Amino acid sequence: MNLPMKKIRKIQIAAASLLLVVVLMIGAGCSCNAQVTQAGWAPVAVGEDSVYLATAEGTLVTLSKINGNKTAEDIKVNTGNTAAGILSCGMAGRGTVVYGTPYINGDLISVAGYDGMVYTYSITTHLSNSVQLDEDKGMSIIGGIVGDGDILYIPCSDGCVYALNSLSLTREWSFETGDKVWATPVLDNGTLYVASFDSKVYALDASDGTMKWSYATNGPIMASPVVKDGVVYVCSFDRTIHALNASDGSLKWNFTGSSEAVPRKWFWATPIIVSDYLCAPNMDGTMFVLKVETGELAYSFEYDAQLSSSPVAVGDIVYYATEAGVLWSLDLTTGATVQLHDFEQTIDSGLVVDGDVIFVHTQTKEALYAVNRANGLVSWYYEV
Amino acid sequence: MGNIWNIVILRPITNFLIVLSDVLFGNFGLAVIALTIIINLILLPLTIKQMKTTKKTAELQPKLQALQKKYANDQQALAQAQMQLYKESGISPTGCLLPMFIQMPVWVALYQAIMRVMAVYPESFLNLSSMVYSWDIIFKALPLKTTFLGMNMSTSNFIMAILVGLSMYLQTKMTTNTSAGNNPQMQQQQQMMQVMMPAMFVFLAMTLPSGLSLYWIVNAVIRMVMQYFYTGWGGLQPWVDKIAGILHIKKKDTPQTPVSSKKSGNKGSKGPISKK
Repeated sequence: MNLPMKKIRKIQIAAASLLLVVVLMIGAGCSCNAQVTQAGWAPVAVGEDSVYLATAEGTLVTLSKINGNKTAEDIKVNTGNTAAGILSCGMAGRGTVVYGTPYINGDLISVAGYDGMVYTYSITTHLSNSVQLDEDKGMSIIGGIVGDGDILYIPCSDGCVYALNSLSLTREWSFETGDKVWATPVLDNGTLYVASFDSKVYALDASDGTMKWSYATNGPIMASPVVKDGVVYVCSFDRTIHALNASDGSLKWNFTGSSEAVPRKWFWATPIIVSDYLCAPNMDGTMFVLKVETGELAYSFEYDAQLSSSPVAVGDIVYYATEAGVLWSLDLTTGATVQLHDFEQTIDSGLVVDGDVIFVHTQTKEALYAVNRANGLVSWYYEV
Repeated sequence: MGNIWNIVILRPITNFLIVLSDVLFGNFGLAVIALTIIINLILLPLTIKQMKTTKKTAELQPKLQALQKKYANDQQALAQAQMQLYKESGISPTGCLLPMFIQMPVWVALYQAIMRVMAVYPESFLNLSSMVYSWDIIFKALPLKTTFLGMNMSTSNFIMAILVGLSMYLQTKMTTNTSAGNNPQMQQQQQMMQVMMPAMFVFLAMTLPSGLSLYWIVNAVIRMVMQYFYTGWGGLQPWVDKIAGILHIKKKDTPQTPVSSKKSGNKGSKGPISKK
């Protein structure tokens, strides 16, 4: 290889420059891996006349339920300390990313940010208030807020669930689990059910946070528990669905698979109960439909994309979306599925239904679609 | 292309890291250390080749400088003479680049694997599901406990950032004299690199999860160990001598001094025998 010295130098400079670029790309968290850029996946909050969309840009957008027009000024959800500079991966100037559904209580809307802050806004005046949930650690909030009047229950990555007064933003109580809490807690009949990455589900007295019981699965839990008729249904990363008696946390039945279908990956999305069936999407692309009484598999539907979005239901019909962006309906009386719409966009956000409309928040090219659940036609859409 | 990258490089490394973590008592820090060592061992032949070429190139520096003086006014003749010299010495001047290009994707994949398994962002954790194999051990191990020596490996850490800078500086300093020879221009460049590279990595380490810092530190230490066995202390020799002097360590005779140190006038420098 007879290269002149100048050429060798050029090659060496090019190699050094390439190395520098790779290092900088690594530093920016962008290298060959756009997934690490945060997109958020907050399902919309539905109000009386409007829907509230927390965007990946960290903005709370208010849209008319009827036509998708903006009905109020945008609210920037942040504290002004968003990362900036070359390593911010385009995050500079953005608000904080939001993953959980905002909670509406009268005129007050509460939003939990990835920055570990809880923000409350007056819907009419936009007056705001905020508090750092965990003052010492400043850990992120991934799950959504569940509320009971003025009390907000908020899960946090520091392993705690907090009860806050939404008016004063003062802490009522907190309960510490053994690991991150990313699942939105569930409130049922004065009991707060909290699922944690420590593999356990906890039943807490919602008034003071004291633990009633806990149940350990064999894997972290990301999906919110579902409670119905005195039974708590828990879908875990251990690829098992656990049905527990709500009174004492004892196991009623569990499902690890059948001869027809076996969950091969995590249960990430929150399942839903429709009539006598539990519909649990799995990341392996299978929708498992179990009989709630016995835990037997009634149906299973396999798709070529993972199911990470939480389904919704109206009557006996379940609506769910694959991560590849296809919206499906499943009639549980007949077991028939219909493809309603192909958005050709990533959908990780949970679906929300309001009357005849299903709200779909897409992630790749961020937008909110209002889809007629009867025919799958898009009534309107708002592109972020 | 993305799929090939994932299937061939990223998925195996990611899953191996998870399994290692489970085997090593659920300790993520130990898993990163073990994986870095294993990957360095796999790439050892390439690394040795790279070191060999770098060392030989350094040895040629005086001759190259002599040629530069000789053919100062004839660039073409200079290029021909240089090529002839390289040919006679049996080295390819671009020989040190090929191993670097082969190693780079592995390092990038290792970085990506660390970032994913630490679930720094919810999105990366969600995508981890598509990366892991359907093995029980994998599902049992996830998510990994990212605490190591009391530090949270999924967040940046000032101490780790400083250690990254220090280890990088020492590594760069160690290699300095082994390749620059007496070329003042090259020495100047290397002096700049000695400061710039570690400073840049400190900056990165302060903004990135410290799990990645741990990888950089371990990698730098491994490189220094390999460098030591191949060329001795290199640019660190004066410091080693000073420390030895302070500690009153009795100097032992060594059969051979590292070539570059000798050339840069570090008489009496110590080091293991260089392989021919």
